[in-house]
Amino acid sequence: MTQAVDPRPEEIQGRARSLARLWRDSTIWALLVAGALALVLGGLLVLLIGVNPLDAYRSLWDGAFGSRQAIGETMLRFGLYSMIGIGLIPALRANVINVGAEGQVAMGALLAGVTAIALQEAPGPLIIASAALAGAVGGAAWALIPALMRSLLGVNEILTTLTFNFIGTFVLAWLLTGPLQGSGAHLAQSDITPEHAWLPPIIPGTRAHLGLILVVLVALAVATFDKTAAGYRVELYGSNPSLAQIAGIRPARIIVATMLVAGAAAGMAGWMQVAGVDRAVYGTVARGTAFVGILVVFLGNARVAGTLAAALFFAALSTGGEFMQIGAGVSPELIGAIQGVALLLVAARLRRRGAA
Amino acid sequence: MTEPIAGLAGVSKSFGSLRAVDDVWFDVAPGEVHALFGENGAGKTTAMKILAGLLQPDEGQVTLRGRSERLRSRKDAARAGIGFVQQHFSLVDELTCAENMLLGQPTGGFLIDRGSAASRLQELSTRFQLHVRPETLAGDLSMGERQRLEILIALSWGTSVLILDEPTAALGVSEFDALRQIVSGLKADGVAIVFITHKLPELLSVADRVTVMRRGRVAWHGRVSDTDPEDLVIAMVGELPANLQDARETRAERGAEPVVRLVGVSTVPRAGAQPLSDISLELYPREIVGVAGVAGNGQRELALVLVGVWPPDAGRIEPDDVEAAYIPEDRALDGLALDLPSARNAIVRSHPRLASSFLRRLSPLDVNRFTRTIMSSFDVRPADPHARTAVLSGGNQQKLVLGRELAESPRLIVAHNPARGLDLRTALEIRKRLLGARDEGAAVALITPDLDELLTLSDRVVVLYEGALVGDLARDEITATNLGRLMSGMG
Repeated sequence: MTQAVDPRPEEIQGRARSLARLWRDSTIWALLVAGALALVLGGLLVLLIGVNPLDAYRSLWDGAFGSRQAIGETMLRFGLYSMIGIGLIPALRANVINVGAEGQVAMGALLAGVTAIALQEAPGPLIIASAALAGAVGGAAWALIPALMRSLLGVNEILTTLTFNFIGTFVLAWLLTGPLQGSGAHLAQSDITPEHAWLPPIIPGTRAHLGLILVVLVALAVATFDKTAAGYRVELYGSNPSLAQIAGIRPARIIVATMLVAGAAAGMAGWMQVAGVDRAVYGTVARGTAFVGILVVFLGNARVAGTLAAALFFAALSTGGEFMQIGAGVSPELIGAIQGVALLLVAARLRRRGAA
Repeated sequence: MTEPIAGLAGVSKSFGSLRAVDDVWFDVAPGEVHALFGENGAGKTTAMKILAGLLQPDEGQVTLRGRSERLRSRKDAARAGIGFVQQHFSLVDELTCAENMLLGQPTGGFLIDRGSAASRLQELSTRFQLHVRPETLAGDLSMGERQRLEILIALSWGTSVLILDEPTAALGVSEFDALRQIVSGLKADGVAIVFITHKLPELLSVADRVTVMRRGRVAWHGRVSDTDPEDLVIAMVGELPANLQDARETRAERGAEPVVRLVGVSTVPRAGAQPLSDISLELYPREIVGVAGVAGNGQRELALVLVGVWPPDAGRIEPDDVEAAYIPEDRALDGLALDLPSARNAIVRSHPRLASSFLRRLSPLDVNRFTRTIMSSFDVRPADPHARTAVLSGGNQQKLVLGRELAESPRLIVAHNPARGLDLRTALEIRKRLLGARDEGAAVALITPDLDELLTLSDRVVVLYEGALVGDLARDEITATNLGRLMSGMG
């Protein structure tokens, strides 16, 4: 049998191939299609309640990007979602499903807040760095127990991380209504952290803060990790654990390391919320952001660029959605529907990799 | 002898291009144990599935009480009184014995009656002297008890022909005696029994008649009492190709230190695995040691111990850090991450060497160049490092595995059935590579059920039987008789 010979020089073939691959495999592309389709379907829903979809989407856009405040608000959420999502990438590659971001964010926020309050005398850079580190440690510690249970006892990590969300949020609520409750506070809330532990805005006049720089650094680190031998071993384990073991890869190491990374990132997201927005630790610190962080990494197909794009998409939808109600009289629940449709469309394209 | 109650008349069955059963004649009479003997893949189970109505023959007929019948389903066969106890038990652990019996009924209404099922099972259990407590959960039964329950379930619909497929595969040695008593009890009760096995001692101790199958065909048939076991052994493995009998000068460096030495290696039983028992084996540079044996006698376990994935529970491996190349029997399970691009599978062994010293980065350029080198020297097509590995054909996948495993010039190579399912040309190519690796000084353990392959390549042959090494044959000692005896447990 003869093989068809492609007469073009190899570099051009290579380029054509990689373009074709971009078309076929690119998560950005899939995300664009999913996002567009979701918006179209959302538009149909808007039409159904008698509102012009173009008006609705114009106010959505204005709400997300129409003013400096709007952009700041969108970037703020983008930072939180992508911090959590990017941190989950190595775990997802290893086919380790950590859905414990909520508890990890809560524990990170708690430790970061407590550290900031305890170190009030320390100078600004030191207190910020210590609180950030404390956030990472808190989140990682909260991920460590499920990681050990999975790697030593074979307990399903989906179940344990989910359970740890409840434990984490309840522990936090208990501490914040008991021993750690701020003086004069009536809610589950700590003392206000010292002012020099707060993150200054990155866009003046908005709530978007310097934590975004850390998000960029984490994204670069994970993207680099992907291209290292260690990143390769994580991917190999996720794709075929039996082969990975034969190749000398120790599953326990992969599981624990990737879970710790995910927990640390979620914990830092907790710190960002405390130091950049809330100024104190609230019992509700993880509400609403943690699970979106998990969704964006799935939507982004566990790729850095895809996850960032998905985080931006969801951040814009959620800030713009609130504005859409005022601007066009469309209820923000529609946004939930659009997000759901986008997720479903991407999920349809994903196949579960490797053995569970 | 009484008239046969059930049989196959000239039955053939193909799966794709493979003729699994080829013109098989077979029958069994009431009160008789008829053994079906042969290696794995000889067609024994397929033939009996046809008799039990689980498969339809392409040609030939199933005969019952002298008449030709078409059995379209298990239900039909059960109505005709044929029961089939499969090699892998099909009990539901969470249900009681009685509930499992209800589940096993080929017929029955929409509603179930647990109470009467329990008393029915009790009654059967007393009648056939097979002790089973109806209310015990199936999950709590030992292997022997499970088997008893399976047999009772098969008997519960008035079975007069009972097919037992490798009934001792899951049993310990001590449980075989119990099984033999069960079989002789049923025999005395007038049940016709088909006993599928590849173990000669079992066959000799329970069977009245024996049919030997090889490559889908009947290779021997006769009464056990008139048969020389040696003939059965030869019928099972076939005549060895004559041109391979010439003793090739063995080039093993016996004076040298062995590349690896197993000393009294045993493993504890694990789910689905044949434990290894007291294996001692030395592999020298420049030799290929063939490991013969019927599949399921500890081959995968031995391979995993040799490559260091599975630490022995007793005994030792010296030295215990040999970098071994491994060509696994099951590519999808142990050899390749099929969802990843070929390049990712090509660097499984070599990625530590390819990684940069700074950050241990794997440059895509280096990885692709390395992958292309392997692909061109082992003729892997399509030679595209980016193509998903699953799109490669089996032969190309195997060449990719081989190329990658040999890339770091390993001193020890463990090849398990390396030519399985490959076309002749690819198989030949792969064998040539193994010989080449040996000539460059590697020690090769070639674990294979393919006797031709074994004899073409091996400098000596050891035989695995029930997890133990039962023979070490130099080239000139390898005869069909020697090999067959060892493989079927008559060593």
